[in-house]
Amino acid sequence: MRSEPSEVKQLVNVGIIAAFATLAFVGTIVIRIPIPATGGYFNLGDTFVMAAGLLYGPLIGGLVGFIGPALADAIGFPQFILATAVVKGVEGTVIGLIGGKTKGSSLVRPVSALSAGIVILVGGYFVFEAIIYPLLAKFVPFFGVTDAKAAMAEVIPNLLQGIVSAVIAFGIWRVFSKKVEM
Amino acid sequence: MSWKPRFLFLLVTSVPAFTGYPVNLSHVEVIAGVTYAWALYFLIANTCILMVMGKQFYTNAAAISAMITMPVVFVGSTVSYLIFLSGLGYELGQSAYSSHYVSLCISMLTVIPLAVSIVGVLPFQSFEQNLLRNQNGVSKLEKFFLMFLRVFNHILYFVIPSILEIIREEGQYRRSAGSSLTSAPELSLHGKVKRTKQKLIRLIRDMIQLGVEGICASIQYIPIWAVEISQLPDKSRKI
Repeated sequence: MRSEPSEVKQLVNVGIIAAFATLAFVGTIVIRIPIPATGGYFNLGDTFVMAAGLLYGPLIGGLVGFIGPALADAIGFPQFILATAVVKGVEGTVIGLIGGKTKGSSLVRPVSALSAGIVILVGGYFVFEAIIYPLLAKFVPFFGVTDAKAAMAEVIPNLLQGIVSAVIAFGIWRVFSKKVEM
Repeated sequence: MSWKPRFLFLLVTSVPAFTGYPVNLSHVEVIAGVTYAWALYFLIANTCILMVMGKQFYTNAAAISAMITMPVVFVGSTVSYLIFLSGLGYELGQSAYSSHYVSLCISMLTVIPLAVSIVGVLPFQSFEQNLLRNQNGVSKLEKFFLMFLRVFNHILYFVIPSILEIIREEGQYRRSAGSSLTSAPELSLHGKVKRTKQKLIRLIRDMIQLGVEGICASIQYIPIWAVEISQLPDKSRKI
């Protein structure tokens, strides 16, 4: 029986999403440094979200960001699942849109993409923790974990997390984007 | 007992952990940071896991939970204390935040064993076998699920253990190589800054290498699996 090439391609894409999402999940749970002000934590799972966006484009980057880190939040920090899924999903998508599948030696697109990713990471969590979560907490007490002051305290750790993850993701992209000469 | 009632039982048991109801409604504390509700729920959840999954599984789940929880709790409290000492924040002192870590510790020691048990009770291998043996063919969604399952299992059971082994071996090599440098003469301030910079660059380089190794090992079989899975008979097609 012959299989259609498009089905093989779709399955390859599903496999890549599964691989990067699992790596993002592992990267998020292995290194966890809590931030007491918000109950959140510093981690390096973003590396694989950023790398997926740069290497495979917006769809795969977005899905990896949506699935992997949110799964990790389910272990120990369930109140952050919503914010993480949205923020990291958007982060992976935007990185993929700006710098996805960049060919050649130009560094402008990948660097701009990673910078945009950092802004989305920091800004996205700030918006969720300072505005959306306090609003949701009025109806569902489960979300009553942060406020504007706590969100401010998380800006620096999130910025640091974004920069470190972006540096590693950039390195990974450089390795995979180099041509191998035989 | 089959996996379905056990899965359902664990799912119901985990509702308070993942929603906060009703454990977060009580505020009467046993010790600072731990309410009676959370203490009771911790005991109930762990007893349920022990009963449903057995002693062997529970021991492993408890060990995994402790391994994840302890660094988080101790590093977190150390970092916040250092921030307090450096005057960058947490002006109320570590005592104001220590209850947060006690609370985090008890919730993680409840949530992690529950999450590990819920994943552990699912018979992934038989899911795969059932899909492969299905006489009526496999739908597209089932093929995607099969692929996801294979990659997830491959990373968790083959990639991560082999990477951890590489880290352990390289760590041993570095420790033995580094021990010969401990007798080096005292460095000047410039020398110390240079050495710290080199260490930082090496750390980033190592992390990039680890990421590349992890990605390569994770995706290497995906094209073969994609061809193999795509050749399974479709549900809609007559063979």
